[in-house]
Amino acid sequence: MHPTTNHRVGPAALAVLLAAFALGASDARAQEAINTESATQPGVGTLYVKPQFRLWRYGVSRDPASPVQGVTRAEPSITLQYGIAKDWSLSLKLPAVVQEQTFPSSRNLAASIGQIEAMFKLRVYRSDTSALDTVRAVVYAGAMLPGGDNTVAPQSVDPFIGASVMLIRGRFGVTQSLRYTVTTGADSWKWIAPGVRSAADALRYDTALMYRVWPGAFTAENSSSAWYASLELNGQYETSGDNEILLAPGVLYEAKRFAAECSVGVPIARRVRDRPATQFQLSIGLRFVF
Amino acid sequence: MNSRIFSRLAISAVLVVAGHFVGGCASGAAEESQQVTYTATPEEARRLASTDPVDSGPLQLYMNGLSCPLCATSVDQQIDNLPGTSDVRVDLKSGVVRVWIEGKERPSPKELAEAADRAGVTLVKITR
Repeated sequence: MHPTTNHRVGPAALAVLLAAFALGASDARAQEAINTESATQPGVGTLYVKPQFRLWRYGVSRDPASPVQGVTRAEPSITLQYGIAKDWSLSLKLPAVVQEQTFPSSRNLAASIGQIEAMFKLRVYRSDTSALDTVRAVVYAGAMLPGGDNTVAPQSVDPFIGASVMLIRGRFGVTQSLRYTVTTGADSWKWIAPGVRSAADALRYDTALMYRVWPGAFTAENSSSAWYASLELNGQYETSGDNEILLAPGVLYEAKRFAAECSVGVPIARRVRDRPATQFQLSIGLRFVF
Repeated sequence: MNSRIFSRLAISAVLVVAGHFVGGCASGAAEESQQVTYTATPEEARRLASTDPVDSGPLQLYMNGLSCPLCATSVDQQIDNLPGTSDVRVDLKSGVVRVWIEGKERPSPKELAEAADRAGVTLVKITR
């Protein structure tokens, strides 16, 4: 029933892919975690460009209605974040999706624009307690918007709200973020695994620890770049009762005009029935300041 | 069974590190954060609110919240956008931004503080 190979690469998807490669890839700054929404903002009139590449591998669903044995989903994206006022920023994430589904006797390859993410972020608290230390909190809201091909991405408008708190203390930084997404479409996972049915809302809960590995202390000579090690717990609870937590160690290099990041997430806790289970997640990204 | 034990250990490790951090037991972090914390005297705070242009010459801006190299760039950009400013140098070690002031149009202390605010950091005081 399933075609052995089905290529669906629309012009819009190609445009995003080309733009991604032209600009480099995705988004970060200020001990900003890799997978956790941070409480940082670009300065007024400053543009951050964040090309990013994410790869997920999903395992076989326990749902007998799903014929899919496994799914590999790659998502190159570009996020643009602009400081529109002192405590306000606007961001737009434009993803492309390339997805391969494995069936018992065939494979299906498809590519398209993914769900576009538009978000406003408002800083509600900032306390700079020393030259290096700070505590910040933001609230944010936005929506996931229909992208391209309906075989790989939802066509619904899914609003979300969230909040994030970040503490930086010397070499350490910790960020906690919560984000609730309302699924308005008929099915949030069928784009990944046909037959898997869940229209549940999703609560993302992410915790990130960052540690500045180098330099141990900024000096006049060593203040233009820094290396950070990160450890994140990235969780998603769905109102269907499904829950999954990934442990994602990573590394971040930050210079004055750009940053580069990489992390790998593996599941450490899981109870899923209505969605495919994540086997691993890879994130590689860049962040540029303009 | 093994994965359950592993997941509990991993979560416990993260919580322990987080607790250690929040409790301020990380000696390296504590030492560094205690080194430089700027505060302003009432007189310095009053001067920071002035709308009169600063005099030409070098200035030192003492800032809190300069957490990373990218933050430094943000401060650099905001200060550099003000008229009469040049040669902006951000020292993350000390949290001091050095800037050269010159020209007919020069920023006021209040404008410098607002520029720092737009960059997301706090200007505490200004000295020569």
